[in-house]
Amino acid sequence: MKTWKPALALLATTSVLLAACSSNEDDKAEVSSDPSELKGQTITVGSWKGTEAEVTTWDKMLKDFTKQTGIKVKKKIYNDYQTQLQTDLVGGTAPDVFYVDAFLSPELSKQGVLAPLDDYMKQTKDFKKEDYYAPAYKAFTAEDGKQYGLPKDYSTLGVYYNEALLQDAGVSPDDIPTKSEDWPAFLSELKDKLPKGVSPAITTSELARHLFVMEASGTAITDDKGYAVLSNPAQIEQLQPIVDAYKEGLIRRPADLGQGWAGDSFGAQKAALMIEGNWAVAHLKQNFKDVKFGTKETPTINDKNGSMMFTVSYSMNAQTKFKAASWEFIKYAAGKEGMKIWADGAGTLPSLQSVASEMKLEEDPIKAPFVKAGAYATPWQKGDTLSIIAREYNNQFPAALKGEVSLEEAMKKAEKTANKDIKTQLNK
Amino acid sequence: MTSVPHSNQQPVVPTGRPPKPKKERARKGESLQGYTFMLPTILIMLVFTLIPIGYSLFLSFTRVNLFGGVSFEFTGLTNYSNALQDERVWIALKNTVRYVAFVVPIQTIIALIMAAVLNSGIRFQNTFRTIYFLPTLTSSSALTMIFMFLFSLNGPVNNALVSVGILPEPINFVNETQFALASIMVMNIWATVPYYMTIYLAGLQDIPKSLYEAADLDGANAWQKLTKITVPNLAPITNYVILMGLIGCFQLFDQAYIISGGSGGPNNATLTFSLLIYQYAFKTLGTMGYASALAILLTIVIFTVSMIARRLNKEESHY
Amino acid sequence: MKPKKWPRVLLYCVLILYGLVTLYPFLWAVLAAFKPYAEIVSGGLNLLPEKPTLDNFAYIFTRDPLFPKWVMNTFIVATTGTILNVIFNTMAGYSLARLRFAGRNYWFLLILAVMMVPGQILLIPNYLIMKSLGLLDSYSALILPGAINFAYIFMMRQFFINFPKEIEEAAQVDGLNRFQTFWKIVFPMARPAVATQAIFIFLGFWNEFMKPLLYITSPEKYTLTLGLQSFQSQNATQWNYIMAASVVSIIPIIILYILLNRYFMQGLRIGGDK
Repeated sequence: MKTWKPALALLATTSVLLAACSSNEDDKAEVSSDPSELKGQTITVGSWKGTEAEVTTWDKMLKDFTKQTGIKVKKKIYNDYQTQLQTDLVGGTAPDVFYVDAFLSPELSKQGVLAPLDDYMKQTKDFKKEDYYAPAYKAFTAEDGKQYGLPKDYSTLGVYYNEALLQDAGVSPDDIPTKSEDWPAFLSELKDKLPKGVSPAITTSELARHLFVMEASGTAITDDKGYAVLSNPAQIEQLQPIVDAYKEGLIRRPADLGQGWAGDSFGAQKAALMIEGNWAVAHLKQNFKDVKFGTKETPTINDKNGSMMFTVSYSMNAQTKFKAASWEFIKYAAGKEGMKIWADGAGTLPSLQSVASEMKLEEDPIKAPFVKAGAYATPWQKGDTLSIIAREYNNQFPAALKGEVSLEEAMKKAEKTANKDIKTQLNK
Repeated sequence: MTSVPHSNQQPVVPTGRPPKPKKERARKGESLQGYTFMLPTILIMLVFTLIPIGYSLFLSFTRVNLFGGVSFEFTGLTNYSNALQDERVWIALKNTVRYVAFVVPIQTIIALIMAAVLNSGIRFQNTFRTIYFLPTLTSSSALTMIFMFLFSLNGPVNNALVSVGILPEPINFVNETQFALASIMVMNIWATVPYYMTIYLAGLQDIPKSLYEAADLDGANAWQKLTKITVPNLAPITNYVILMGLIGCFQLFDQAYIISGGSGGPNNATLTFSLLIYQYAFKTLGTMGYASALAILLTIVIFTVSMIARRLNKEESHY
Repeated sequence: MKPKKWPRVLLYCVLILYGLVTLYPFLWAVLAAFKPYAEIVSGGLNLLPEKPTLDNFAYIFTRDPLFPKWVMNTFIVATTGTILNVIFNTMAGYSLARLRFAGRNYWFLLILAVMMVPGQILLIPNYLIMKSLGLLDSYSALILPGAINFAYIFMMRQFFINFPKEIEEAAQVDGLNRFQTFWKIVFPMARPAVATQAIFIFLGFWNEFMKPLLYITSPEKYTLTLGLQSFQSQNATQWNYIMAASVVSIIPIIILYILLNRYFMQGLRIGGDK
């Protein structure tokens, strides 16, 4: 009985709180014809912390932006991006411009928290959207056809090899097959030549790495409503070689070897080959100076190139009070000037083709394979149901790797659980 | 049998209702005092705990989108009935209960015994106490990393077990459906015992020395003193340790999250209730209502189990 | 004498063994702070660094000029928070154990119940409250909601339940009222419990991560955990810096432990001498 009174009081307070955070901003684009009138405005930009080089370059780029436009930038750095950004968005305290991971873009744009940029782009002279690598640009085009962010850079997957380990095994980097069909034989030969305890290859087994492999079958992992399609026989056929290779000890996962991620296992020389994103380059150079390595493109599947693309945008908060200044920033940072400073200093891959060719990245022996993949890689993104699908895939796939269940059974189970959840929770 | 001397300041007061007051007036005064002592707690609890809980309770009856323009849709008990029909909820509950059933009794017993030993007037007890206290300071991320390494394929646990011949070949403990949860159990027992031991040690200071001296006169051995004096007199502290253990274990999240990368795998082996709640609260958007309903359900489960545990422990201490 | 000796030896063996088991990972973490990154992730269980280095410490101390400020902030927040907690929790625990007031049992059960609500679900409502109270980006956001701690209220209650009544009765006979009794008699005599509470609460504030993460945005108001966390990058955990940072951040706790040490083992000790 007694507990009722406080409960009612709570509800009353709660509704006050709720009312406080609803919004009524209009979403008309504001582009300043005379940027000098924006001088002295301060916008907040939300980002997360990358490598050491990224931090230094971030500051450098912000400084340059302020020098050019007179707009001041306050940094907001996320340590736990997903939790903090959501709290910020609900609380109405989100920055004016913030990073949006392509993975989250469909969900966030659907929720109406991002401002569409189409009008801004139209009203900006000489804005060339064709200059962006198509997969990266499209990752932020929502179902409604509007553009909710511009890619700041991108990452793709490639093959890393440890020069010393290969040399000791008497294998030349040129021997690494370019067709995935030839990999099992190559790895099993390599395994016999490597010292005990060194795995031929290391990779992370997640949907974020396997999406392009599955879709190489010509089947998408979701249907047109967003339901999971994971157990199509053609998909299973594509995945099966990975499972078989794992069972034969040709591939290991970092957790098998006691490391947190593949970059550490490779750096610690526990594996001769690694399939990872280009972010590992900076990590290896910073932390494992003695390890000499080279890179190649990921092997073809059915004679077709494939890789994953991970990209992040600058997006505008739908509720920002500084629309013109925010657009100035996006235009700068995702444009030629800002991106050049960023890509140059941070070592990331520029999402503008003109910047990439200006930087002659295709000639950089380490970065070239990743840059090339920019043209054909599959973005890590799939509508607003991907978080559920990925969760179930990552949950069930390891069981198949271990041979506890067949791959088909695992995928059927993942598909079924994911779809049930999508139906109940997302009201599809 | 050793007879425990009857001390007039009988400390074995199990948690429960106090004896009936004699005078109405004294009672009123005490009521005022009671609330004065409780005032800061009540105020802070109201603003920073009860309101958020009320908010979540409210959300649990809705389908809600908290972003941008907030939109509520009252769905009554739909979230709750969905939860009861959700296979993942039952798997999470099973995992969590299994985890609790192992970890809570084991950590409580080890903590109690170690505290009793440390308090028994052994030499270097200060040194030992400090050594045992230090692990409570190890950061949890460092801990998880060390344990992942300990249990990895080429790690020392496997090396030891294989060389002794217990295992024919190394097992990938952390990533094997059968062993993943067990690895987390070991990790957590290791990490929490020092904490509860420290609390038991403080509790032991309140047990009157006279009880032990009298038992010594009766020729009681160490075991008898432990079971007849220490354990019953520590009953309130044990209540605390068990209840806090239950709450902590039922809410297991960190390690399960790190080990499975948030998915609860392999094959749901590390899917705990709190992980489930987190997935709906922060990994999928627009499912905050369901997450809230799950949180309320978990609260009810913990509360029920805690009350049963409290009852049991209370009964045991009556001798 | 002879037959009694062996169990003793055995006892010490068990104690030492258990000491090693608990201490090893701790020492490993401490000494890892002196290792280069590559050695930490690949070096296995070696305690001693092969190539000892102070680079990690140099990095975290010099990486950001605000570092001393962060230490200061954390110290202020943790100290204030601990003092408030020790007073409020002890009062509430005492009241729940020893004072007969209407609704006492309900309050107690409520305190137990609120601890059982999973915290993840409360992050967003809490954030909204902080925002509506205007406490965002202030120390109050860290101190106020943490000024009481349900777990330690509960703990203090359990301690006071065993507290001998005679002492309070004697105090009342001497003419002390309830508050005087509490402050002059009860509080000092509960030293082991209060010291235990104090150290864990201080530790909790010192290591608190989620609250600063959500509530504090200005770098000059960062706490140590938040500042140190900002050394971590999105793609990889820089274990070397994390380990060095955790070594730095446990030093104050160890000092506090040493300072409080004599209180841990100084209880009532009544009985025989009474």
